Amino acid sequence: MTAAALRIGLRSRRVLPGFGLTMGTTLTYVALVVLLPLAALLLKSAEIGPDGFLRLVTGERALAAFQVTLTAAAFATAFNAAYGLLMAWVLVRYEFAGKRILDALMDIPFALPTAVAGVALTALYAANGWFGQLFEMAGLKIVYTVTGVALAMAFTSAPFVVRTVQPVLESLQPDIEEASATLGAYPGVIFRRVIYPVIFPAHLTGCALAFARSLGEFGAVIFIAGNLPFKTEIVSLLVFIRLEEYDYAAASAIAVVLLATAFAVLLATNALQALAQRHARKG
Amino acid sequence: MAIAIKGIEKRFADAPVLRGIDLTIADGELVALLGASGSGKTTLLRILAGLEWPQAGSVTVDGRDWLALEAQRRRVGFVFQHYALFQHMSVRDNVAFGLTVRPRASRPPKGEIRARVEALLDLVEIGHLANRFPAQLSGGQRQRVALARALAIEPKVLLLDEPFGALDARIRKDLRRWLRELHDRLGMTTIFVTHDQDEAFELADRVVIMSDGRIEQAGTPDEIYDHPASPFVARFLGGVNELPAELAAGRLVVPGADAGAVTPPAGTDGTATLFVRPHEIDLVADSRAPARIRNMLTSGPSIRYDVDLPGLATPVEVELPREAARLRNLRRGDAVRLRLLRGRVFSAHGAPLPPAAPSPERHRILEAAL
Repeated sequence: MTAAALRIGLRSRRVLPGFGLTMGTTLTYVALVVLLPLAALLLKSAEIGPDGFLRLVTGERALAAFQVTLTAAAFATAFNAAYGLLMAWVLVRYEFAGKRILDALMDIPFALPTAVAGVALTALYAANGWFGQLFEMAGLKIVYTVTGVALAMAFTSAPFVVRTVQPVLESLQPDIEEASATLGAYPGVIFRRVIYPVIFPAHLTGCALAFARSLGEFGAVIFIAGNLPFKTEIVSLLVFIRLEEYDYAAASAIAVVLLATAFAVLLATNALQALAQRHARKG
Repeated sequence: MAIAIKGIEKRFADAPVLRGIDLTIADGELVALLGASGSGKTTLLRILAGLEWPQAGSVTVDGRDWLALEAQRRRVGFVFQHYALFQHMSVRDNVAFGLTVRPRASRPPKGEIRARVEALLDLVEIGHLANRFPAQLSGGQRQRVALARALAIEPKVLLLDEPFGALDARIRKDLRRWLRELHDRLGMTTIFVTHDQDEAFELADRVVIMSDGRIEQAGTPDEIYDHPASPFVARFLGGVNELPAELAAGRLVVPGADAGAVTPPAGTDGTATLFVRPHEIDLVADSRAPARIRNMLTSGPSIRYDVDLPGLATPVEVELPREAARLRNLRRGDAVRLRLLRGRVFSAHGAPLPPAAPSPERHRILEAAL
């Protein structure tokens, strides 16, 4: 399809010139910055052969790291699914003082260096920190536990859900809600049957992006996690440790699994989305 | 359902949108709310649907206070201007929505819902599109889905906001006739909003002309056309000449024209304005007359003349049937006398005078002309 599009692009006249230049630059960039490193990673891990690969990624420590990472990412995503939706709803639906400031604040987790976020969260939730003290009294330990890992992941990935849901909520026409009301539907039913199905694809995308980001989050997590092998060690840290030990094979093997997981999540999301949006197809 | 609207006032922020609306609508009536944008017609419709609440006034439907009921409990079928279809639902699910959202106790069984949806889709003649999604339909088809969806709850009142506004002229005409038939068949009270005069006059039993938050006139299309209640209505209907006139001792004097055929209204003497439509004027060649034919245009069955009358900035428009025009044999630049066959007189202060009645002479002239 790309080849066909290219041929058409070269032959037909367009209003804006520069198809060849822009497309070429884009492809070069994608090849150099995205595909080449990924290919190198795959090649490196291929060197060790399937048996070695399997042994490396199913090692006890690696498995434990995968479990910690996936569990924490799942909790972080579940939290953001709810919180991000709520935040987007509030930002779109209501007018209040300071709305624009709140809107701008949503991007802080993206703008902030993740290490800074990690240090701040650790300071706040440590046993002697402002929030940590309160949780401590309730018998909850956050820093150096999987909960802390999930907290850091939730912090850094929150904007994904807010920012993907927000524009779709904004584009909802108020008349479909009014139509529902005249047809006898009350607010709960209107949300469930009219509003949510429309924002569902965007919500799903936001959650998938948040999950993928959480899988790979490094900077914010390592400060709060404590990084105890088998307990709170995340996958990306394990990759880092293997690199430090010059064990490139192990590092790339584990990295490939992480990459495949993130890729699978995004792929599954796209498939679900296509299913959910089949109504938009013309014909 | 008989609807009684009394003293409705509505302001958005500080801008008044409705300034005291009184209107009664009989059971089974088809009423058009006609007005320019900003006249408050859509707001009135939304108040009836329970989508807006007025600051003052009352709406009583069959003796029940409707303002105490929320939209969900009024059982009003509302067709939105842009249809407001649920894009993620098939046509069938859209139409079934009003039934499937009912609480379990009052919800019809699945089979019955299905049968009722089928019947409705057949009624609006789109049974074959049941499994499509709104994005796959044409404008006219979406309109029908919106109507079927509104009818599914068996509304006692059907409200339509600019029902044909977004459609091509050709489809619009067909749908108009079809909607009229549907209304007659189902026998509910129907109110629709439009800015299209033809649409209102052709479709409605009664037309309510609104302007600036008030009702200017409410009546049958004939009543409004023949007896506009105010200069505003006469002007709003369009295609009308405004001639300065003088009322003196029970006689109507229009400078440069022969108003003998217009029965002068009973009223105070003084300056007045005569509203006369192009086809209510006849032309007689008269070399001593001050009026001159500036221009002639053929529009198929009739001929339109622009006649310059001394003292008037814009030419008077006159329309003669083709046959009558041939008999008159008038050319550009000819001196003519205007014979006014009929007209409506309003005194200069804007207070409407009793409208002039059609004179027997007019019929004689028209018969002769034809």
